[in-house]
Amino acid sequence: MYECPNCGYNLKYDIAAQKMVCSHCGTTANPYSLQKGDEAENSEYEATIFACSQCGAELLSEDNTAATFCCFCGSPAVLESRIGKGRRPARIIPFSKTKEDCKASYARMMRRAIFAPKELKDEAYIEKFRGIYMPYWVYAFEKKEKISFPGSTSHQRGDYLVTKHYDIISEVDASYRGISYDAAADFSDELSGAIAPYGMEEGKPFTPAFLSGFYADAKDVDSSVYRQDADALVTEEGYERLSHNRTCARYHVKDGRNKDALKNALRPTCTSAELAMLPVWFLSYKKGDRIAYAVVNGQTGKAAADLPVDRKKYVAGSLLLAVPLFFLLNLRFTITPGVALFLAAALAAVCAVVSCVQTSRIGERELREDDKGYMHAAGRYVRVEEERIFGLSASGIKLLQILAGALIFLFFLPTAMVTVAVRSESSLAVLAVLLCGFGLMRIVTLERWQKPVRKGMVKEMLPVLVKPVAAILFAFVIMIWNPVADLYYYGGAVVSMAAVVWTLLDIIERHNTLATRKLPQLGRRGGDENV
Amino acid sequence: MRMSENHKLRRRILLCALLTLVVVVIFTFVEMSVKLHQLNGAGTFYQFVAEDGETETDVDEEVYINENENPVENEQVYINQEEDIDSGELVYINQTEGEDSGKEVYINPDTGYKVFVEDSAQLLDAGEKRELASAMEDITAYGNAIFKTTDSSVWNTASYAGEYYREKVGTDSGILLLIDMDNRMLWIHCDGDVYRVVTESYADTITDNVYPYATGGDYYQCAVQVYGQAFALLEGNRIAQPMKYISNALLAMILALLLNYGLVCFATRIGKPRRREMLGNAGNYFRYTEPQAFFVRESRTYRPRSSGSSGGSRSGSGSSRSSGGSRGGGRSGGGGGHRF
Repeated sequence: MYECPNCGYNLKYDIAAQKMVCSHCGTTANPYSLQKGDEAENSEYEATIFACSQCGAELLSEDNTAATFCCFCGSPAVLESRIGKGRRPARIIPFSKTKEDCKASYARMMRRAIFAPKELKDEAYIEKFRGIYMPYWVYAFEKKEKISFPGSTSHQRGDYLVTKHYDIISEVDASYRGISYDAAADFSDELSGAIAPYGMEEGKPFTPAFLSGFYADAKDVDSSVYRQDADALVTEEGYERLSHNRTCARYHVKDGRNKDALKNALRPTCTSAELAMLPVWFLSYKKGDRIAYAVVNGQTGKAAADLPVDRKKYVAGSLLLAVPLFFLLNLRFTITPGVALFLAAALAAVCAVVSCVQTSRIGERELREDDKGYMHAAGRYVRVEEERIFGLSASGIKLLQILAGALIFLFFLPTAMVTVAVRSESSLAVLAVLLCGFGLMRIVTLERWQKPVRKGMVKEMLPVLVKPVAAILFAFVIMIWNPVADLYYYGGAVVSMAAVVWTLLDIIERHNTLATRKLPQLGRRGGDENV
Repeated sequence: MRMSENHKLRRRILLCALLTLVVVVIFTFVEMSVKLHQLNGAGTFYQFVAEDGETETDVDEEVYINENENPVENEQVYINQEEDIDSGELVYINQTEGEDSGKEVYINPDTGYKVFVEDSAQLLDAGEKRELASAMEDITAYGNAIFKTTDSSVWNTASYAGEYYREKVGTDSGILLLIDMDNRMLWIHCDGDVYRVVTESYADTITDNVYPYATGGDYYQCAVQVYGQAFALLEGNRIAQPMKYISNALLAMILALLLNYGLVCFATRIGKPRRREMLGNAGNYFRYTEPQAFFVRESRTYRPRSSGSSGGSRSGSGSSRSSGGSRGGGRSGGGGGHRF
C-alpha cells in the first residue's frame, strides 16, 4: 500500500491521469517516485497475495484490503491473504483504458451476441470487471546475416525433365520486438490470443506502484514454452516477404524442399525473453459448475469472451426466422412426401456430423489440450489413453468409423439412383451424390482427421448420436418399405424432423458446454485436481 | 514428414472430389441415356400399317398403331387416325367399344382447345367418360384437356406422359392426366399457359390430394377431382395443400434452427489476430538485399511425354451435329405425380 505524502490515505494508480492519485485529498504522484530504496535492483517485489479457498487461484495486489470474490471461479468466498513475493517483471504497460472504456468495448462486442443470456448484458454484472495485470513473456528476435537458400527451374527436354539448381543469396536484416504470449497458466491461451497484440513500445520499466488499485497474476509458465511459437511467427513473416520477391518467385523457392530450406535459412535468433505485466480487464460468469470469461485488453480495448447461448432466446429467434422462411418456401417449394423424408434423413446426417465434431472438441477443451501454458504448468503432456469399446482397440474403432462412412455412402447412393430413375430430379440426385461424396471422404481421409480416441470419448459420442441415427434409420426403413399412402411418408418425415429439432437443441446445449469452462481447480499452482 | 502427410491428404481430398464428380457425371449420363432411350423408343412405338391391317407398303394415309398397347392381350387396338388432315380435326376410334365411344372429343369453339379421352386401360364406363369429358370442357378455356389411361408396360411414367402430350397437341397449352396402371402411378403433365399456373409443385399437390380415389379404384372421381382442382387454379382460386404447409413449416423450423446455429457459431467465435497484426509493433522491420541466383548444377529426370496425342485425325468432325432440331426451342412443360 502506498501512502499519500500529504494525508496518509491510500494512493492508487489513476488510469485517466496516468499517475498515482489520492482519492481523499487529490494529491498526485509519479509512480517511480514511490520506489523504496534499491527496490528496482531486486528480482522480486513484495505484495499481498490473495488465495481463493475454492479454486486455489492466487492474485497479487499492492492493497491489503480483502477481495470480495475470486476472479477465476467467481466464488464469493472471502479470500485468504498473506504477504508474499512475486517475481519482478522487467516491464509493464499501465492500463490506458478505463473501466468505462472497457464496458463500452464489451457492450460493442455483445451487440453481435444476440442469443447471449441477459445476465451477460446486465449492468450490475458488467460492473464486476476487474483490472488485472497478467504476466506475459515478451520475445525479441533478430536476424542480420547473409543467407543462402536453394531455388530451381525446370523444363521438359525430350523425354527428360531438366532441372537447373541455383543457390540464391540475399542479405537479411530483420528485427522483431514485443511479441507477447501470456505466462499465466490460469489465463486461457485462446482468450489471451484473442485480445493480442499489445503495443510494447508503450511499455515502461516495472515498479509495483503501477499495481496499486489492481490485481496481478503470477507467472507460472516458463519462457521456453512459447519461444517456438514466436520463432515460427517471425520465420513465417520473413518467408512470406522474401518469397514474394520476383527473383525468388522465378526460381520457385516456394516449391517443396526449397520452401523448408528457405524457412530454415530465415530462422531468427531470440535475443531476449522479458517478463512483462500487461493490463487486462477481467470478468467471470458462473452458472452451475461452468464458468465463462470475458476479457478486454487494458491498452487497446479489444474484447473477447466465452459466449454461451440462452436456449429460450435461441428457440424464440428461430421461430421468428422460421416465419419468413415458411412463406418463402411456400412461394416456390412444394415438398413431396418422398423428398420430405429424404430431407429429414439428410438433415439428421448433418446434425450427426455436427454433434460428433462438437463432442470431440468438448473433449479437447475439457482436458485443456489447446492451452499450451496450462499443459506445461500442469507438467502434463498429452498422453492419450486409448479407449476400448465392445472389446475393440483403436483399429477396431477405426473400422467402425469406416462402416459409418460406408453406411452414409450406401444409404444415399441408392437414393440418388432411385431419384434419377423414378423422378428425374437432378438437383435432388446431386444432393444425394454430394452426401455420398462426403461419406466417401470421411472414409478416405480418416487417417488424417482421426484424432486419438481418448478414454471416454466414444462413450460420450454414442448417446449424442442416438437421435440423429434413429431419425436416419427410421427414414431408411420407410424408404425401403415404400408404402403408397403419403401418411407414412409424412409421418416418418415428421418423426425424423422432430428428432432433428431435438438434436439441434442438444447441439446448442453442447455449444454452451463448449463456450464455457470447467471451474478451475488450482490448489497447486497450475495444477488441476482432476488431472 | 508432416508436409508429405498434408500432401497425401490433399491428394486424397482431390481424389474424393474427382470420384464424386465422376458419380455425378455417371448419373447425368444415365439420366440422359434414359431420356434418349425414351426418345428413340417413342419412334419405335408406332409403325405404319394400313387401316385394314395389311402390309406396311399399302400405306396411303397416316394411321398409327401403338404396339405397346398389346392388342392381342387386351383385345383392343387404338387407331389414331387423322381423318381430315387438312382441317386438322382429330378423331379417335376405339375399336373395342365401337366408333362412337372412341370419339371422345370436344372442341371449344372460342379457343379451339380440345378434350381428349383415351381410356386404354378401360377404367371408366361409357357414361363416366361422357361425364368426365363434360367436366373437362371447362379447362378448354385455357388449354387442351387430355385424359389417358394405360396398362401397357411403361418404363418411366413422366416421360411417357410428356411424349403422349406432345404427340397429341405438341407444345400447345394444356393439361394431361395419365393413369399408368402398370406402374400404378398418376401423372399430370402441363404445358403452355396452363403450365404457368399449374406448375410442377401444383401438379404434385393435386396428385397428392386425389391419389386416395385411385387407390380405392374410383378413377372417375380421381380424374374429375384433378380437372376440377386444375380448373380452380386456372380460375385464380386456391386448392387445399395441407401437407405442403405442414412439411414446409417443419422444414422452415429446422432451417431456422440451423441458420441460427450458424449465426451463433459466427458470433461467438474467438478470433486470433493475424500475423501482421501480431508483428505490427513500431520499430519492427524486415529488410533484404535483392536476391542473387547462382547456377549450381543441372539434373535430369526421365519423364516421357504423354503418348495420347489428340492431333490430326480428329479434325473436321465439327459439323456432324446440328442444333435446333424439329422440337424447337420452346419449353416442353412439366408435371408431377403420385403412386396409388
